[in-house]
Amino acid sequence: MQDDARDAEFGSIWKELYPELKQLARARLRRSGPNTLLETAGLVNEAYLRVSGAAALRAVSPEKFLAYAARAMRSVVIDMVRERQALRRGGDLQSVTLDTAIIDGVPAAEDTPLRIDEALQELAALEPRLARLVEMRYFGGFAEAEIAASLGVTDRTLRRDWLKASALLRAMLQPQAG
Amino acid sequence: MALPCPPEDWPRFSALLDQGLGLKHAELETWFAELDGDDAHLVPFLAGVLLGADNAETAAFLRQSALASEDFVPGDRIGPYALVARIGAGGMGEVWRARRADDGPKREVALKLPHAAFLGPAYKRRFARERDVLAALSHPNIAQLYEAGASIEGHPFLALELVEGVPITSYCQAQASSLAQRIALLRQVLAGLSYAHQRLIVHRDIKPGNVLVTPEGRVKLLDFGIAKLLGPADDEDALLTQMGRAATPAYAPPEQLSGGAITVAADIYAAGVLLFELCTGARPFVAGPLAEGAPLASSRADAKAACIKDTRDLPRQLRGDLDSIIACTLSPDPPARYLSATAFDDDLERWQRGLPVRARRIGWRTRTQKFVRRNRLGVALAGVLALSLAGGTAGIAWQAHRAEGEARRAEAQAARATAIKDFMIALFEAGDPHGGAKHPDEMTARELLDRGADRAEKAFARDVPAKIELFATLGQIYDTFDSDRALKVWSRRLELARQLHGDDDPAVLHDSLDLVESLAQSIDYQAARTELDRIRPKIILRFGTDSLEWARWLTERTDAIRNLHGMRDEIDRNLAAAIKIFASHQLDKTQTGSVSAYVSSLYLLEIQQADAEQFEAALKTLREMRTTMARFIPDDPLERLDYLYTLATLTERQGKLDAADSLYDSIERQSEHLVGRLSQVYQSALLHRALLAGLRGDRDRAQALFGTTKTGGGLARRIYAAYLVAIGRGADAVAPLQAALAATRQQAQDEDIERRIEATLGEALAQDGKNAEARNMLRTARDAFLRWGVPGTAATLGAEERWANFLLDQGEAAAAAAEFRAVLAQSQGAPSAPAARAAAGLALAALASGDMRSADASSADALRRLQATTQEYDVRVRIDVWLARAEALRALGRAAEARDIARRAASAADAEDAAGTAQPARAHALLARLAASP
Repeated sequence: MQDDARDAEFGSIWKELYPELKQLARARLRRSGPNTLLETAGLVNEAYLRVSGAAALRAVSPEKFLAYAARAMRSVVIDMVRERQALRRGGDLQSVTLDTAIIDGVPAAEDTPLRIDEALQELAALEPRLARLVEMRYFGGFAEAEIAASLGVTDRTLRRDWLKASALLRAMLQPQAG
Repeated sequence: MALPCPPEDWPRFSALLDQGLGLKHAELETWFAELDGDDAHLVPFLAGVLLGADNAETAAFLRQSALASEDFVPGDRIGPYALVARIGAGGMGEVWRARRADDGPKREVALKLPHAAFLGPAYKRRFARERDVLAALSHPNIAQLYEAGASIEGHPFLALELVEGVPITSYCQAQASSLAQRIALLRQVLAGLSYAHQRLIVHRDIKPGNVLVTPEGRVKLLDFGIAKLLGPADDEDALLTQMGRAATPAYAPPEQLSGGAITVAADIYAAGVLLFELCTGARPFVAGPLAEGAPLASSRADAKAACIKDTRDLPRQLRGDLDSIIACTLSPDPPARYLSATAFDDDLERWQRGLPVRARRIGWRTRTQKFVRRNRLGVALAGVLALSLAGGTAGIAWQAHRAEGEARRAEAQAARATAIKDFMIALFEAGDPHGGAKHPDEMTARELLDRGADRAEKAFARDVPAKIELFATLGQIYDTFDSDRALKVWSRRLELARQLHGDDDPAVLHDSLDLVESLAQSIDYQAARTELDRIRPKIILRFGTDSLEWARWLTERTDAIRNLHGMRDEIDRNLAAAIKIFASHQLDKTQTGSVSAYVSSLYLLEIQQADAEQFEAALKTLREMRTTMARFIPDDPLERLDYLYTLATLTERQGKLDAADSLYDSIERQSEHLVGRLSQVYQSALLHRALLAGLRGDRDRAQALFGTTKTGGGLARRIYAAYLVAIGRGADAVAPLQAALAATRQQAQDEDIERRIEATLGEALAQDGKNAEARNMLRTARDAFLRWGVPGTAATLGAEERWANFLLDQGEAAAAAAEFRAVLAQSQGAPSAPAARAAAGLALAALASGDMRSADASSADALRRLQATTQEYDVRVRIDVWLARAEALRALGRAAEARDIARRAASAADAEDAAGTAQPARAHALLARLAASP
């Protein structure tokens, strides 16, 4: 994700939200030690509570907020995973596992978040709604009903979308045949 | 990372993929074969995605189950329980139905299994600390926490009362409950809240999901305080800690959203949101807290009337008082809400019974402990109305009560009184030409009054004196239930009077003084001071500096400045002058303004003397006040109670704890009989007795008495918090004290309460281990006392001594010693508890510097001072003194004597302090060290 693209879309919200989420995520990790579980939905809620005083946020509907938050979480997680990897070259082996990954049965390899992020970047132009959906579900950890409301689709549509997104991701994440 | 299909083919690929996903795995082969033309070349890409895994596995992506890092199955043993069936799962863990597998009581429980990863490393310690407190919450409306612990494998668990029920909102909808039924359910919620708040437990997460109703219609509050149990507790995440777990934003009050402390006010707010939701079926804030302004219940009534059975009555019921009640709970300003669930409940009851509710007062604030009502002297509501309808001459008697000067204008009075009487009667008449939708006999008294106030402006446009008189009466009636409205009416009246008679007219000046008195009663000191400044030169000019009016001015001035710092000297001067003037006049009971001011000046003097700890003088003043009142005011049992209460607090502060206790006992009995157990005076007496028991070291009795109190209000919390600090459990008192401090700063009635709370809070923070904050607070308190307090009083010495003790604990022995010496110098040889503690502290400081001889001398001095003190004091002071003496003796090698004293200290601490706190720990540590050395 490019910084300027982010700024263009979200404007000052981004400035408020991102540092909060990052700080919260770090604090959570620091406290819990290695093999950390990040409870993403909880983190987002907390960030929301902290940031909701921001003036810019007043103009934003909760639905849109979810979208922003998911984007922010994605950024945070990617940053953190990259940092961990860099640290690991220095010797400290720690893994960050997203709880959503455990829910959904995606193999919880250490760099899975990175790979999903890459996949989403590829997918974003071709299937924007699916990319958004995965972002909100996987990085944001939001519930189906919330995501459906945010995207403006019915629950049924959402399930079909999820089936499709999962299938595509699965295919993209598997090691190449041949 | 490659896309499963080249981008140029994607649109068609995507559409086909949609189709393929709708097919079963077995059907895919056929489907692939049937694709033709351009689509055919996409088959490999489609196969790559669709055949990679079957739909069942893909569907596994959608599994909504909670974290499966621990997989529990029925039959698993967790601690003493065996799992039966899972009943819920959330982001933080699972909830199972379970029953005891051992020989314990065979009841089923709800077993909450939080994921260990979320609890943080220190959860075991937290569980141990909180579990007892939460498990002690035993109330029909609270789902009981039975126990909390961890299984052998390390799975933490919470065993809670299993509640068969549905969320309160669903229940009401399913039952199509009437408004009255919904309110009754909410009152059950408030009963549970009130019970817990007295014990300083805040729920923090009230929402329909946590408020269940059983099939029998009983409300059960779930997860009380669980947020705190599960939440993180380290310092570095102080903000997270304060916010606890992410609360549900829709139910969280604004101060929680901006990271402020969570107090009972947060629960009140959430209960208010719940009430709104129950009344209208929707939440008050449309788009979450982001939206400005809240449409209140009445405007939603039309949309949601279908939810509630008595739809015909709904708009009228919701309009007016219920709206006000809800608005009161949803106020963004925490002190503006009901101060306790009990107060909230009271107002709901009043609403149910058709009585005026307290929430109607805009900006209603708490009153001080003062029960004396200074401007209601013998003129009852019924009396006024009866007089007004009785006949013209009654108008003269009316006037005399209110404004002394106007009695001179007798001629015009008779005609005027008749006009007014006719006006009042017209209010009650039918066929009213001024319109208005209602028939008078359908209106409440207040509505009639409002109507009268509105009409008076127009009706007496040309007879301004009549209007002035009318407003006086209207104001008086309003004052019995709505002081703020009364003030408005009186201000308007004053305005008219000034226009009519001019600023310097004596009657106008009297009215000004009356107005100032009312402003002070409503705690609008700023406005009172402004008005006083304005009329000062006029009063002096008009009446002279030995007049009653000047004495009144001095009294009101004193009342209006006593919330400011540094006014002590002026206050002393004013009161002395005022009382001298009052005493020298022959007052009679019609001069109500002066009589009221006389009594007030004595009352204020008593407060001054009590603060300066001149107790004998204060008692004398109190008695003088009593006799003065007896001369002019018909004996009112409530005033008598108030006097007793003031006497009791004075006796308590003097240190005559036994005498104080029996006075409180007497107050309890009388007030129980007069105004009932829920009255403020009864509850206050009970609280004081609880505190006294605590000071005596009778922890069981203190705990029992605190347990029976029913208020959750400011005084209750302050006293309970003070008790907790005394027994060493300051950590639990921090949040309520912070809330009390914030409230005091906001309301600013009595300037020394703030520094007293600061001193206690500083101590609490120190006990909680929050050293940086404690340092700040203790120093602030000490500086405030030195700057504005009365030097040499126990309160001032106490604040200095606490600061010194803190320094000592932090290892700054030299600085501590200097402070202790200052305290001793100020107490000038008079034996007292703070001085004894200071001497003990000095001994410890000396030991820290290796000066054993000084330590010996100081610790012996401490013992002597303590023995010579005639005042009773907190018994734990003697433990400190003993410990210091024992330490000194040990350093001098007199081990046997040291052991003797240390043993005494340890057993006393065990009996009187709370388990696990600092003082008993110190005592036992010392004993251990003494045992180790020969």
